[in-house]
Amino acid sequence: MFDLDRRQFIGGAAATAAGIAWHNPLFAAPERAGEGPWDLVAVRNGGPAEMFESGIKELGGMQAFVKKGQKVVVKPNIAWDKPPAIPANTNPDLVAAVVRHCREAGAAEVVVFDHTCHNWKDTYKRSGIGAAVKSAGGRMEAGNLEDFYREVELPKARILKKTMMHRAILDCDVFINVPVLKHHGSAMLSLAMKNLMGVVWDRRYFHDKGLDQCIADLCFAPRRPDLSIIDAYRILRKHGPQGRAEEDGEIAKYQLLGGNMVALDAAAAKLFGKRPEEVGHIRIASEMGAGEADLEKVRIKRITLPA
Amino acid sequence: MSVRSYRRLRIAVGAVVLLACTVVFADVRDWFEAPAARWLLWPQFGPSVLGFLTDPGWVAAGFLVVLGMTLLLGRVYCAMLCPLGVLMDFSAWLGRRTGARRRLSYRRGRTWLRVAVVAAAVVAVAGGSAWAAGLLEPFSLFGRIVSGTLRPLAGWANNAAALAGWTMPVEVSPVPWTVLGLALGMLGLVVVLALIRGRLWCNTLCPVGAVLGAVSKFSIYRLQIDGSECTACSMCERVCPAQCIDFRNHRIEHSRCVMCLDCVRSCRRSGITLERAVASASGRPRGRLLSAGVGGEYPGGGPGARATVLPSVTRRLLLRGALLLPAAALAGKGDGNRRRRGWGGGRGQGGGGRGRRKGSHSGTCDRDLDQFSKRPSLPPGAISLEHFRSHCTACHLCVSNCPEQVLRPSVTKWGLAGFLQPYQDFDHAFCAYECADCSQVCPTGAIQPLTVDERKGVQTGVAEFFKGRCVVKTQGTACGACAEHCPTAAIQMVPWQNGLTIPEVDPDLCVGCGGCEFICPVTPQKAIVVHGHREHTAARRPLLGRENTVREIKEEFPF
Repeated sequence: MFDLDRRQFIGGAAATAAGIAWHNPLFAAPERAGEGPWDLVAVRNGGPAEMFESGIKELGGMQAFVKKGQKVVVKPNIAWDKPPAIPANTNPDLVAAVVRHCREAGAAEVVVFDHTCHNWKDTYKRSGIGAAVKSAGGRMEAGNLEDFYREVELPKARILKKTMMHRAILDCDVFINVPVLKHHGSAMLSLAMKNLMGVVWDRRYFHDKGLDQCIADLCFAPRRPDLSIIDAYRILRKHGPQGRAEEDGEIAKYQLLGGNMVALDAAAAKLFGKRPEEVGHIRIASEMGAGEADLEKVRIKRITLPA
Repeated sequence: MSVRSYRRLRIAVGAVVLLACTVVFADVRDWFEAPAARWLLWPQFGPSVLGFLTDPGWVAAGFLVVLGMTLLLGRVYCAMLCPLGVLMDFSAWLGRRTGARRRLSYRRGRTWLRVAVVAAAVVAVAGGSAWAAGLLEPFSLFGRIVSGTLRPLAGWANNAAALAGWTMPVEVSPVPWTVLGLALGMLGLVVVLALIRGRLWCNTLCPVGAVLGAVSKFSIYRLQIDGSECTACSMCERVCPAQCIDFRNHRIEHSRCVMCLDCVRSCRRSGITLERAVASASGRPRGRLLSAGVGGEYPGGGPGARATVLPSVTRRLLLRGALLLPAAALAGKGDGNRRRRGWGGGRGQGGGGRGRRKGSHSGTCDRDLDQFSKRPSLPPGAISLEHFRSHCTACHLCVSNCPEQVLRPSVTKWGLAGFLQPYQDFDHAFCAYECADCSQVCPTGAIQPLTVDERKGVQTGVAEFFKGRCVVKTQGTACGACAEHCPTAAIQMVPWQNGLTIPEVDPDLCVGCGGCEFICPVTPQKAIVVHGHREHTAARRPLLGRENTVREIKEEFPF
């Protein structure tokens, strides 16, 4: 196998695109207008909301996902009682931007929740997400009551054959997953798939029976995210998943958007500096055919915003 | 002030006290933030005395105001500030409204019982088991009743509403059966007694009633029956809930009078008045002789006129005693401060955990310690088991106000010496790192007030890891739930076999919050257990950077 460096790759891709465009203007047109059917959009060098604006545009805008009158659930990571400067939770500006876009696309209701690890009242408040969602026109829901969860079956899963999922997820029309990229003591990294542990009730089962396999099994849940947005504006580099102090966080200014969690997680792992196959649940999920972890085979749109 | 407006005031203040105390103890939705709840309960006599003994200051000086009021007017506290007393009046009123018309009559007081109750309370506190004093102390008893019955009910109702989408759900710690039974039993006893015998409780079993009763014997203003006005209709005796009016002899037993003034209202001829009893010092007749009339119509009094200088001497002695009390408390304060400095002054004085610490490092299952056999944890701020047991009256205000609902009343966890006193139950929750509410709310000083920042420097217990039980070893799968929940990174996942990582505890950093034990998926014996300290020690707090690092961009997109 020959090695391509980035320049060669871009050059080659540009030449190919130019060639195609030259010969077939019909095929090139969407490419130029930025409407290509991308598997993954990677944005860098902007604020969380700003990067989301340009990223979602590449995926056809929020109206490609949310239709008028639909019920939307946005599931950020709000697990820990930490302020935004310690990036244990999703950036509140990003969550607000997602909620606002859903409302503008005509969503009847936008519900935001997480099955938190710390007291939900504290995490919703200190993360800034509670206030951000309210001002953006969404509604916070709680995830810490067992009665909110219904049992579902995952026939294609290897271990997690049955679990209890939050009714908001099971009853919604559109499910948007908004994790944050962070270090994780148990799962190595916490990404899009790992964020789904916040929609199930019994998480001790995951730890007891095999964490990586159970996380990968969530790709076969009856309800999967229609869109995932990985917040990597701030990355938690160490002491994950909750972080100890601001020094654990790194301002990286990235964001990844796409429909397939495995591809997104693979790209996010690379942003963190890990190979995707090093991360147990990404490796297992891709083996099980839940998605493509080989980023060579993923159509990626890369956007660098002007500083 | 006219009798009518006093009565209105009594009912209004009583209603506010009853409602506020009920809401504070049944507050599942955190309507009252911790300091607000604490201030609301400032004039509560029992907790205030204990609080003053540990840390004298105006924060705990509510009981001095109550003593002052009692010296001036009698048992005004019992009339309107005591939640249990107001509850009794309310029950009796409801009983009368629903037809159970019951006439009361004069009964003799049971002084020996009252003295015994106070003596028992003092012995209990001095002997290091304050719960026994709190068992009958009206504020603590009221708190336990509401916290044990109404609070779980409110939580259940709230969560039923939450399921329908009307509100957000709340966590409510389960109430042990013993505590529920005791609360219901005491509530039944108090209400039934109130229905049939008015304020009998207050003048027999209540230690606060006994103390204030003794003080009110010397109060400046007292109710007196004017024999010249009395038509012997017996109305006053019939309505008196304390059964302390002997209308035949025109006598009121002031130590039992709870200052409801129902007698004054019942008298059609204004024969009962609130008079300045000091007048007796100038040689005018008083007490029993009031029957001969106090208005000067029958000068000279009746037979058996007593020398009246005596009470005033006693009053002076009593006042001096009241002044001595704070002095005694100040003497105790130095001790408390010494203890508190210990928290900040590095670890090492609480040698109790030394041997254990080694064990947790080696990580071998050298002892069969588990979540059932370990010592439970005291709330942060409790200083030591001895301090906690000798100051906690088990009012359960911290149990009601714990945002995590990790505090639960004990039954046998602290032994008989600590019956009903709260402990941290890591089966259902764990202690929040960013919270010190229990310490802010405790009215007796059993849990000394801490700021959130101070709380982070206190080690209430220490985590011990048992590798032999850990799923990483027994099942060969990745876990690390304990390390995830550790707020101080005292638990780190260190490389082990086959690319797996396994927990390792740094006991110096551990605050004993119990997050690890709570989340550990191993059953029945947890692989990580927080063993409570008998005496709290200091947790090491490393200096941490308060700035994010900034990424150096080598390549714009690494994929």
